[in-house]
Amino acid sequence: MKLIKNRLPLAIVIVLGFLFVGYAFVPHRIAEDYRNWFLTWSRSMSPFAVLLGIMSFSKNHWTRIKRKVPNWYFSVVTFIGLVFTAFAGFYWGREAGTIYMWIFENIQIPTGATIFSLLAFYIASASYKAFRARSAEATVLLVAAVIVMIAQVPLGMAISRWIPDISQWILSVPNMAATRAIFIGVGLGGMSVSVRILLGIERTYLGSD
Amino acid sequence: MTKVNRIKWFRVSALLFLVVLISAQLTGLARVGFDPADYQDFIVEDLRVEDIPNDTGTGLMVSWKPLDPEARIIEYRVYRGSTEDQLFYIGNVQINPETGFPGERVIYHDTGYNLMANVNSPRGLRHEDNQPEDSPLYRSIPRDLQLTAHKFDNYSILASIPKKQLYYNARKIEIPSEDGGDSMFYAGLRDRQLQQTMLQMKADHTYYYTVVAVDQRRRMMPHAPTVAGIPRINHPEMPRRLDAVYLEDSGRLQFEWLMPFVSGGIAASNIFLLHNNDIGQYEQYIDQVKKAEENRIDRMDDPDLEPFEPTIQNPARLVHSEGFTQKNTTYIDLEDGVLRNVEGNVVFDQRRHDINDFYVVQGYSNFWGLQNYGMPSDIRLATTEALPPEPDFVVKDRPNCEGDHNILYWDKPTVILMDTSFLNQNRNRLLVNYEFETNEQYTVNNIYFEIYDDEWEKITTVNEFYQNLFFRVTLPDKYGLDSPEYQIDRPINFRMHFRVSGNELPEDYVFEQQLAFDENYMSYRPRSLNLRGSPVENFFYRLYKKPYSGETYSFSSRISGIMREAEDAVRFKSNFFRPVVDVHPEEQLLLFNTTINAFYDKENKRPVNTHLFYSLVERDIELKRAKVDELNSQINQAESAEELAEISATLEQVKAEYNQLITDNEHEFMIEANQQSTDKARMRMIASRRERESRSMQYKMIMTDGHGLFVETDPYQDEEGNTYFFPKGNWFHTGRTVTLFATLIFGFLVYIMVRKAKQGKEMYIRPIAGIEEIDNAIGRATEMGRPILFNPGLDGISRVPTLAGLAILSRVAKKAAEYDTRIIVPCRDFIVTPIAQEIVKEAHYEAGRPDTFDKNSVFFLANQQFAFVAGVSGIMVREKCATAFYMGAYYAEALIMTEVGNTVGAIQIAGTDAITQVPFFITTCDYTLIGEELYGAAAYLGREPMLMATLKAVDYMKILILTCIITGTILSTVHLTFFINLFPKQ
Repeated sequence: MKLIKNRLPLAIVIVLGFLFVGYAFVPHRIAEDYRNWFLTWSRSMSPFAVLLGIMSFSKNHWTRIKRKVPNWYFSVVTFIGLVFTAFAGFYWGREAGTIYMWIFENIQIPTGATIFSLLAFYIASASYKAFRARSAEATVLLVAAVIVMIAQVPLGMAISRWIPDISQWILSVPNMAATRAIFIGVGLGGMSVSVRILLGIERTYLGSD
Repeated sequence: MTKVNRIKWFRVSALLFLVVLISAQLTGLARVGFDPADYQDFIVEDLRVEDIPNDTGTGLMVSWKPLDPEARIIEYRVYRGSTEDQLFYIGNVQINPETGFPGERVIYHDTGYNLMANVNSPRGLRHEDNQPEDSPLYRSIPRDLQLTAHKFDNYSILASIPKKQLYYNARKIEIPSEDGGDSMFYAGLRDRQLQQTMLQMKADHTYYYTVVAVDQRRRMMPHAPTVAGIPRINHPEMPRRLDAVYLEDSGRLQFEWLMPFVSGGIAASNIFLLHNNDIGQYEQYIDQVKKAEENRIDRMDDPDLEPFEPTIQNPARLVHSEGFTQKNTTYIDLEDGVLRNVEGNVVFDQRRHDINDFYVVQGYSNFWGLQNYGMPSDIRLATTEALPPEPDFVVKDRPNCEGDHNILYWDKPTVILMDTSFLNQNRNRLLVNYEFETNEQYTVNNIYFEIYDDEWEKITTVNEFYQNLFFRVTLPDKYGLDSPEYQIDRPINFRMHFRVSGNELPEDYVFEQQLAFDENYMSYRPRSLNLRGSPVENFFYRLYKKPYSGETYSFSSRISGIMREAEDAVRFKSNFFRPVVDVHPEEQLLLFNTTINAFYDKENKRPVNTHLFYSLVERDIELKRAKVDELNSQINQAESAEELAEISATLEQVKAEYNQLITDNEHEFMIEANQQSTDKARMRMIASRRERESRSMQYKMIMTDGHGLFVETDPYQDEEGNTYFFPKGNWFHTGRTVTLFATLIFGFLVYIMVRKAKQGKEMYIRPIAGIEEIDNAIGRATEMGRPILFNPGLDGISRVPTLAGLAILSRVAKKAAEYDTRIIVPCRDFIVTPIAQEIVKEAHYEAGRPDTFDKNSVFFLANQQFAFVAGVSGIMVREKCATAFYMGAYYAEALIMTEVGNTVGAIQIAGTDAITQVPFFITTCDYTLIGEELYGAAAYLGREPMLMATLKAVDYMKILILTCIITGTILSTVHLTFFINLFPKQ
């Protein structure tokens, strides 16, 4: 059992992992064909993954209905939505003008946009928290943010022709330096995780370490 | 029923009512119940089908009057069929419903090959949506050959066949002859073995069309009455422009022309010389040619019409004729100042005629003998000094590719000013953008820009030791707006030269360019680039190539005059395009010719054909031999001299064919191929040679001004005498040597650190507040008796941050299990969900609390970004989570989740490598792991020596990178760029 559950997947990960490390350095057509062949196979996993998702989703909501947890009727609506949308897609198709697309355009997109629009208000409240000049660092942050924001509108140029230049300098020097430092860290960190996985040191993705 | 229950049932009822209402509304909106008969006003009117001019009889133009914009039409769908009762969808014209169609008639060109069927096509006939039972409209041509066999009479059908299918999987199909003669053999393939089949109309066949309008609600209106059309073979299009140059000193006439828009079917390009006295006669002749063509087309519809024959002779004399190719230049060398026509008669003699008295005319003739002529052009006089220099180019296999590119380079580096912008209000500080081109032979170390004012007084010299493609320059005061000497038209002069390594550059290799103020752009714009006084950009290059397995050059690319390097793609051909010669409906097989080019006989300039199946080669030889024997015996029985002569002629022809067949199969390569034990092995050998021959390329370049002043190189020949170049795949990308080196160093550091860890050496990792607080955050949830929410990010399992998030989940879940605290893990990715479930389950087992594991607490929530965030927010509010972890990749939804977490008073710890989301996490969360801290968190939490060792290796790698950055900065500051040039730029 351990062979199937742990060692075999680990062996697959290590072998394929090293092959893909090799792919990064080998431009030959054989390497490219291997990658395309592999991607075709990996795409074939998608339907099974969707099935897993639907099973998890259904089980979760079914348990909510069965146990009559508070607000369980939302789960009923969820089920109806799932079944009806799937039925509409399979039966009437997914072209523009079908019921499926109507649901997508008139229910899913507006609700998504509604949640997205909340972001504007949350950004305002987050900015308020960030820009309170309670320490020297926060004051620097506030000043930099004000300059960059003002420079984005014509008012900045009207106040002083230096403001856009200062804004650009803030973005392209200190901001860029910090961003690049994070990128280097992220790159190395990612590499470190990859090495841990390739060498079998990190095995949590197999369900255990 | 209690009040609470009443409210609950009321809510349920209201929700169900809403669902039913929406469903009913949707059903109403659906096309179910839509009766096209109610929409007679939306039928397309005035549908016309006309022949497309200048084509090969394979195209028709369909046009109709657009419907009123109020009809809100979004699409017109066009249907075509070879019979009136079956019309298949072939294409559409999209319309903006807000504006309607802007013109008076909507036009659809039905030309070339359309898709017939592919793997997505239905097996059987499928009516178009919302059509009555007797409707002739069908969605697409079905794959079932029993339904489509008749189409092969009315269409030319072409199949796109994956190479391997034709080479190795085609079936040998024998079709017995109906008259008792020899059977026919074909290569048979099923439709699923093909990528697709395509069909094209045949000349002089009748096709039927209709058009259907579709409105914004996707309702298909009734179709227009069917209209028939017949594609006709026309004469070629009129040549567009011919430029002719007479080089007086060398006695060469050079021609260059614009390629035709429609080149299909053109067999030859002809050039005529026309005396200016004959212009009137030529114009009359052209008129008569047009009339004859119109008459020919009209007589196809009305055979009783009187034929029209031109009565005027073409006064222009044919002096040059060549097969039509993609090459659009040619020349004629006069022999002793004499130019003869194709029959050998003198049409121009330098001693007796003046070249200025002549015009040149171009004509095209097609495969059906139809011709068309262009307008007369003057002959420009020039000398060879006006010609551009012949490019001395080199061809090489491009390194670091999969084997599908050759690289060509020539000449010396170039530099050109591209654009400028003002850096101050006074307009005397400029940002100048430039570009430079070089090739393998020259490595540019410095570019020097010597800048002069309008009186050629030197302003400054800019040394671009690191070519970042821009520099700043401060101009003298007189260029400033504030100066009393300011003049808007004061130019700036540049002299530009290089310092290179590799080959030497001549001292006078200096480019000159001027910047002049352009009021339209409100900035200084570059004028023409000159080298030694000659404009560089007036000429450009055309690259031509031909494969080993052919004799015709094809156009590869047009290259700007400043370029010094070009890549030519020699693509791998994965498919054959073969005409379908017949079908076998019972077996559902498409039949193809079995012959294939085995190799190219360069000596005799002919491809050598063979069959896909060796048994057919033997059969061919046997049949030819039998035919020779039969004819030999007939000769002996011939009763008359005429009969004898006829049989002898046939015998000679058959003998020649037989001998050719024997010769072909006695070629060393064919003997070896034919000796293979199976057809597959034989074809593998042939395919390998075919591949090499079809992808080995010969190159030549033409440098031209586009108007007849051109030079043409000979095909490139390398030092070993090779003229054909086959691109080879590379096994190592040399541009990634530094990356490989860095990877090896990192691997070595990991090895050293792991070894030290195994020896029991203590590893110090700096404390990270966010990680250290994880235990406290879990403890807080335990104390409050509320659940923990853990989110492993929005990305899939293939992303590193997700893997890092899952590693942290393992530790957090174990701790939560030890404290008996519920952990909720909503997932956005289908594959992450079961992995997270397994991780949490294992964590409970490891903690010795398998009974407390609830599989429903780790679940798939939603795949849509904002649906997911809405779900997570709802869970946090309903469950009143005491602690929330966000560990993984995040996008715009991050702030929404963390702000909701704030409102429920949860302690929040986030970790992400998404730079754009880090500020939001820092602002709204209690602790944030930035970038690499996320990756290190699991190791830090586990405190396992092996994991800590990798973190330590990362730290040492960072020291190395910082050392390189500092070294590079210092060295490049003192103009030493060799170090930074060691590293790849991308």
